[in-house]
Amino acid sequence: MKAGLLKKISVVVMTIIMLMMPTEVLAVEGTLGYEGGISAVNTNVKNGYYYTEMCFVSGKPIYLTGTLTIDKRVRNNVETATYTYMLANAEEQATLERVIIYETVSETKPNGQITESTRLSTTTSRPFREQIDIGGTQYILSEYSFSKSLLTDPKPAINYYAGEFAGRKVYRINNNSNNTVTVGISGKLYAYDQYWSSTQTQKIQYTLETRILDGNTPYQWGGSAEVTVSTTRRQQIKYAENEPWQISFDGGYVRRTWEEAILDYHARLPEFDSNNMPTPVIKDYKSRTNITVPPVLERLMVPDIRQLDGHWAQEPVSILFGLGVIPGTGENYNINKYVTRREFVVMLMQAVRDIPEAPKLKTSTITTNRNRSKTVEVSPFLDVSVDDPDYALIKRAYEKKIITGTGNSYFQPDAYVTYAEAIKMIVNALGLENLAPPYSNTPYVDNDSIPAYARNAAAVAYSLGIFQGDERGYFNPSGRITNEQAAKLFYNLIRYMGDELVKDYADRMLSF
Amino acid sequence: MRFIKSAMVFAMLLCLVFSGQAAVVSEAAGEEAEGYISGVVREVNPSLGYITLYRWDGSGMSPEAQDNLTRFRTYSFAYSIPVTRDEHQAALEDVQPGDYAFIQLDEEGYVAWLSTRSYYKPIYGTIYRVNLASPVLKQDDGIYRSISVAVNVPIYQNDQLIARNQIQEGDRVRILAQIDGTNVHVQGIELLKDPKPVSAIYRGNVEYYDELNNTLALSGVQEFVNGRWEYSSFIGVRSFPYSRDYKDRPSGRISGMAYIAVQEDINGEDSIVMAAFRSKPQNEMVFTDNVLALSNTLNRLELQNTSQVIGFDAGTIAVKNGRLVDMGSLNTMDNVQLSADKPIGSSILVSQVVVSNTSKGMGSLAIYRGRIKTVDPLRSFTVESFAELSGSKWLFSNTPKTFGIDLSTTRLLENSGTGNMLTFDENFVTQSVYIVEDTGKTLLVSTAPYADVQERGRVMSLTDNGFRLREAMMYNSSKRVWTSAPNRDVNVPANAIIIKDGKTADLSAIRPGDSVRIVSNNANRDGIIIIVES
Repeated sequence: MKAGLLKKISVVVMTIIMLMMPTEVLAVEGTLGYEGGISAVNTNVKNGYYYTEMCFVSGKPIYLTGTLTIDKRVRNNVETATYTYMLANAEEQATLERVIIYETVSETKPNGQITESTRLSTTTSRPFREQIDIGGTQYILSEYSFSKSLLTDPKPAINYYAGEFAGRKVYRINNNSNNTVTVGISGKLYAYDQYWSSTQTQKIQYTLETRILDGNTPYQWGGSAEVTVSTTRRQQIKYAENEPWQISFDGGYVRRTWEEAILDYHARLPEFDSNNMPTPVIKDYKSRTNITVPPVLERLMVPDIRQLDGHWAQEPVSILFGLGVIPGTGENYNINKYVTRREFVVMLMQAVRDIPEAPKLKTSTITTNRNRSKTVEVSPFLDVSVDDPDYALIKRAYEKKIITGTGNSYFQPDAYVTYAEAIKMIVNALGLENLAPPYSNTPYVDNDSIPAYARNAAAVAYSLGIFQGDERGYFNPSGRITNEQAAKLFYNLIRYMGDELVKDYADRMLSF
Repeated sequence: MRFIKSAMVFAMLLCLVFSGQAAVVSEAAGEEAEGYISGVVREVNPSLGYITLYRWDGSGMSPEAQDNLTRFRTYSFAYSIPVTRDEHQAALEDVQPGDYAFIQLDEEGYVAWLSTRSYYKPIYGTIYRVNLASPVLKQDDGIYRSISVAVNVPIYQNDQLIARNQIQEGDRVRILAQIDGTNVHVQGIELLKDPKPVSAIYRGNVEYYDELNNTLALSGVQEFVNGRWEYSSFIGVRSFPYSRDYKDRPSGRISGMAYIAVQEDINGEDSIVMAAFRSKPQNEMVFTDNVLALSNTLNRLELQNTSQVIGFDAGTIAVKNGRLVDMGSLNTMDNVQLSADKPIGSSILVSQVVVSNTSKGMGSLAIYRGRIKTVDPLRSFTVESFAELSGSKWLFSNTPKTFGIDLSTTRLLENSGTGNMLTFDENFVTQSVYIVEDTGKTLLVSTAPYADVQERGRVMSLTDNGFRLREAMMYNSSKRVWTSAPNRDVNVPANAIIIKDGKTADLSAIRPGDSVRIVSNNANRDGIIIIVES
């Protein structure tokens, strides 16, 4: 009895300890903060980031750069995040010190979506502290309200995020309550997170209102600013040719991974005269800056695919072997061989990979004594045994709803995969079925022969540029897929996840 | 009334049946037994009063399937019905092919309710040819597509509606279009919110291409400024990053000379948006002239004044009004500055760089000088008489002239720098000022001193308070000739008027190599009016 109680207590204590451990922030959402700045990981500072933001309180845009540290803890299902900013601009004689403590409550909905609600900490007596000094003038934050909501839609290969935040800040100028700057904040954020790239973009609208009531000439002025900030982690694969001739392998591919953050702003503020008084003329300020972290290089395995020398699919096949999407080392790879459903699912699961988690979040998974009783593993498919070498991947694909089987609990792993099935699986993995009508007509010549279950996926894959039919524009829904065609599909899929999504979430949001 | 309308519709349906295009309003499928139908819109015809959907599974593209559509998937309107599109009230005309529609039928089988959702997708590209009704777009995937744009399609920039004629060749656009077979419905066009012009055109000896860092290193870098190659102030080997949107990269070993156009990239850094690799020039010439004729098939253009025929190729960097364009976007009589070389084996000059700028100099601005007679604070002011700058002369008019004050755009420049139009009152009466006006709108009032010495030259370098002028010429008003003058430093006071590309600007807009016209003060030779001519 005593031993049982002790065990229970130890489990509870361990759970509390684990939950109270500072957790590293997720790869994307939250790393920019909500102050219109950009950040990139600073490996020299624990939980630290290089950070830059624009400051408009003086009526003139000023870049402030420095460090941001984010400390997150979870207790009683409430995440408490402390954002500490230490920023400066020597040229403008400006400094900023800010500490903001947020609390976030999240809830997982029946469809798997997660809703989050964030506000300033109510358990801390001072959830905010901020002081800005610009050329001898102090702006001290006296009032702050903030609210953020976020929806996370976890799809098999990608987590999609969308949210908004709003707030209001009131600064006292030189600690005089009659001289204030009020900043209205309204922002939208979009993000996604997946293996090949991740991006978070915020569009924030600021309204500024300054009232100077104490002084020789009382005055007030207003302005506005739109700030778009984006941070991206992306990968690129480059071919590296060998210079020596006498070398055991052909030139290979290098994976280059890097992080980049961009800040773009457009402010409309009054022009100030030579006495530093606001004039009625509205001046447009526009600029852009970035923080780039040096890339990390990684060589890919060079497969032995001499049988493909000169083949048009040599490059994608070589890269896919190097990335581990195509299993094996290449000696027996037959480019004209038809691909089975099992092989296709295995390659697809290697292509989409698991969405990366922050390392410390992984450690918060706790195995308690209560779960020691062994449960019998049951395969979701009658024709895929739990001892099957590909069982784990097929099961994961099933759990993530990438595959549903062929009916009556069968998967038919050794049947050849068709285009209709393959495209359906790929679009399921991306979770982008909503981009086309439920039973879309498609641009393929053989539109009418595409089965209803794959029609939406066929239209989406066409729009995304992952598959646009054969050379004659046919979808060929019941056609079998060769290794060559599968390689092209996965190559396009990886390129889409690495490049096109970034363009949509970052580049184009910054540009338009 | 409703009976008559129904009778008309019935008669129309009969006609359709007899013409072989039967339109029967029913389908036996269970899902429609309750009178609710959904599907993708293939066609909607408000005039004839029908809507056709693809079959429930999205099929219906093949000819025989289309025949089935007209028999089984066409529904008629007999009376005015509520229509919504994307959850907003809409008209039948707003419903487009490709929409996903929900239809409710009444007891007689007529459409009683129609609600649809659109599926627009963005198409990104660059305007290749401006045509008000159907501009030609060069899509990012390299496909040229002529897109039909209805008159009422809104065009936005910076979330503001802009006029259709503000679109220019080379503009990056996002077109929201719904594509269904051959039907393309454009919902809106959006231009880049802050289009960056080509910031410079450089050339230099190729040192190397760094594939991993995606940069091109050049030495002996020269910049094409105002129709001439000028050595850059940067000494030694300079590295230029490639823009992520520009896909061409050097293949194999490269040597000779690289010609590059650079533009601010998405990350705010100048990056290569076009590069061409050529042998070092043998017989290079530069021209400033007008295009007399241009042939895209022969890849040649003819200049008006020099009658030179000059070739161009895929590597020719063409920039029009700051935008990188295809050579086909140049028009006859466009003023161009170009650099061309006659490579070994070629019978004609081949252009490496062609720059055309149609908005330069004063544009529509006018500069006046006059003595203030009256001021109606915050509204207007009147000068007793005035002089207008016309070429190298001040043209005097002995009549008063009133200038309006628009507080949001009219700026005041005083001896100490930026002034405040809120303080512009009777105290300014009798003071002589310069006024810059743009088609009736007062942009600038400056208290700078009188200036009547006319000079021209090229900006050599920038100084703390102005710039150094070289190749200076001074206008001799008595002999009415321009004579050369020594290089000199031009001091630019805080209330000087600076004009570039038809807009008022400040000193930071002036760049080395600019060709400028200066009206300076006779006493201290300060540059009071500076117009960047090209």
